[in-house]
Amino acid sequence: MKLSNRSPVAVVICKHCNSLIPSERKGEFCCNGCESVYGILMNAGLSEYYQLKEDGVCFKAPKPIQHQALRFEYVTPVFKNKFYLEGVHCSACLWLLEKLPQMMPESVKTCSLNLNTSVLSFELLDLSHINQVAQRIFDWGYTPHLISDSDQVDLKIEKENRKRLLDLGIAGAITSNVMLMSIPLYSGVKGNFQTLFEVLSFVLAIPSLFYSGRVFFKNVYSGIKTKTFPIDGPILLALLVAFFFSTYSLVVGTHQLYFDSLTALIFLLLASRYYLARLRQSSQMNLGILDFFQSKFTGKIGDLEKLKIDEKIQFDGIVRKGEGWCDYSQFTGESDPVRLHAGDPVYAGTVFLDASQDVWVEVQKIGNQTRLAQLLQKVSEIQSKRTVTELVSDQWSQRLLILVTSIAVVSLAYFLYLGKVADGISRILALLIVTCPCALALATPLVFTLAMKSLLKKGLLIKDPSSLDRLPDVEDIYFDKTGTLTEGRLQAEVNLSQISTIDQSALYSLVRLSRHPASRAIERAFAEQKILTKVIPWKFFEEKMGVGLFANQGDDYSLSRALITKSGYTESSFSKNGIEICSVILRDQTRSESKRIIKELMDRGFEVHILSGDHEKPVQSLASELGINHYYFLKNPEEKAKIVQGSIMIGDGVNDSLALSESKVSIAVQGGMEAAIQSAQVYSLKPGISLILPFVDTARLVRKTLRQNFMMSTSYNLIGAILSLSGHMNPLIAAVLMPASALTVFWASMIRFKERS
Amino acid sequence: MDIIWFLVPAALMLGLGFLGVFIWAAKSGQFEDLETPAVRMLFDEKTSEEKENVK
Repeated sequence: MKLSNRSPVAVVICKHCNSLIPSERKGEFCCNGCESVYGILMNAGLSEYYQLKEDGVCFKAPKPIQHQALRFEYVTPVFKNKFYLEGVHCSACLWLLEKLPQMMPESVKTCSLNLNTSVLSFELLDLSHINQVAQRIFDWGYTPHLISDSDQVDLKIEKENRKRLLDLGIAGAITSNVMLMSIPLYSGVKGNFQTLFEVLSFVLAIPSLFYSGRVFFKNVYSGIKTKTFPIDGPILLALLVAFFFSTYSLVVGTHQLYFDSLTALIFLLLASRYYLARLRQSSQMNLGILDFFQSKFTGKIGDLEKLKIDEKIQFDGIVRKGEGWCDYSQFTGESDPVRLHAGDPVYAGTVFLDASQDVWVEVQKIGNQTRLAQLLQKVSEIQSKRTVTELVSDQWSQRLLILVTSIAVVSLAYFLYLGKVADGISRILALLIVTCPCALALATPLVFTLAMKSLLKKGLLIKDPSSLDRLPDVEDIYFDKTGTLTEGRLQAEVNLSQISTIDQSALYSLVRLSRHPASRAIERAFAEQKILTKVIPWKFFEEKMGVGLFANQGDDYSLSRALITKSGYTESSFSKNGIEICSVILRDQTRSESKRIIKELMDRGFEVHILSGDHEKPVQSLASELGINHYYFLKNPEEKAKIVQGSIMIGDGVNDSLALSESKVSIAVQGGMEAAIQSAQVYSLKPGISLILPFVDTARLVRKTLRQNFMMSTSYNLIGAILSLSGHMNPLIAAVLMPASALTVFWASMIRFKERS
Repeated sequence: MDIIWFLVPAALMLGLGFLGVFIWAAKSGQFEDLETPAVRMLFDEKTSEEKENVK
């Protein structure tokens, strides 16, 4: 109510979403969507929403509502369901959405929103009411997506987290009790009480080792199955030796018990791993690559859908009726649009451009079954596989593990030979525990996850994380020219104000009918030079591929095909009745950021080269413009591939695919995701080379951090090993120190990345 | 000192009780969303009189 007292002139932000109201709009709302949502909420007596929003702090910027008519046709077999909601931004949303059971008492029993994940869990009273619920949420300005069984990946993670937490809690409870039992034992209690506490700590240690600690058994088992030395090997060995030796001591009455160290070790290990897992999930889940392209499509398979112009298609399907143009550049990198006929496939992620008639498509695949979704799935699979196995297990941690285990076995044999069994066991336990390379093995993937997360935020999709590891060893960078250093988009150089108004409108009317890149460039020139023209309705129009555009309305007009001039630029000529009116020079503009980035790269010590298939002239002029001394021209793909071996290649995912796959580090900045993902290790979601700098810097940071982690844990392990073998370290202290050292390594890595961002 | 024979089992039982509470809390999902409940409790429930005033 407070808002309406203000004079309408003073209100420049939307009453619903707080975004600026466009100047051409009257009233208090930025769009019709926001206005209708406001009306709906006011009518429902939910005006408190706006009060709460004013008082509270929004943690995400609210967005204006795009109100296109959506219909929901969800089918659900269960009462408890979840929606992922778009548009949730602050506590006012929480208040509003949790009013659902009150507003729809006949449909919704209970509901609760998780602000962190934007997931609304609700319980239905009637299964068929789900679409009404979705509609109501949509009317309130949020777009709901039903989380179906097939993509309940999060649910799996949730379950696993719950299990880990339970294991951890149980291990913690046991540890604290065993610790208490140990106090009287260490302070020298004798007789019945000694037996009581010893037996009790034995009984308590059993569930700790075999229930909470079952994850160690599992890890070792799966390690043996894949024929690698399991990271948990020495730990499990230590646990088993401690348990059976203590049990043996208990039976024979030698009072050499390690149940306290055993349970403490299990608890601390589980705790540090739980913490690490949550850390990695929080960095991985929110970036969920698929979210970027989350489909808004709510139809079902088999539906016939009409394509909307200039809209991203949300499903895979087959054209059934009509003809039109489609932009496939997302997949192929080919910026020329593709003609669609009946029977042609269309894919999610491509953009439908233009049609003289309605185009109807039969839906065949939706959601995470589409080609785009599968492609992205593949990337994230490759990512997780590469980081965890190749980077960790292949490195020195394997050798370290074997070394430590054999030292332990040899020294155990030595102490057995000497007859000092108890002393030997104690030293070996401490050794096995303290030298566990878990810190290193678990921190390495964390470093890569953090690096990939920060890069993805900026717009770089890393397919092969090891490219980050390789980059610091390389000095030569090769840039492709067209589309990489240049816009890859033709720019028309023509002074339109010099030609007569009639000819202007003729030229405009010609090019607006064509999808050729040169025509697009000329059309843009009209917009850039702010020339408004009439559109001539042609009696006759023809586009001859590779020749030009021809039209007639009283006079014959033509725009003939672009020719390559001596200067290396292309030129086309516009004529009326066969007489040239003007010529248009079409050139590829250098990207505005290229010069700065090249200079920064040189400052960082890189040797920069241009590698192009183009003629000498344009390559040379570009090189001098950017201050690059080394350039190669007229190179075919095979020659390019030969040149870039062992270097960094930055180019087009399609034309340079061979060179990209042969180079040591490859970054595709253009050319469609599908090709790029196959040939390049890194794909830039933004066109242009602006993301190269963060990539280079992050790669160097990764190298530094890995080195730092290695130094930290090696020196720690070395000191620990000496202390424990010489008998100066108690297994209990080792059990505390080991997870503590692991955490310091994690934190050290985290801090390095936090500082940066 | 005989009291220990009673105290130790009592302490263990007490610990077991709290462990049970923890297991119940974890299984009912109380540790999954740590952020929203803190915000949710700040909303004032309106009394029925106030609601009528709004209308």
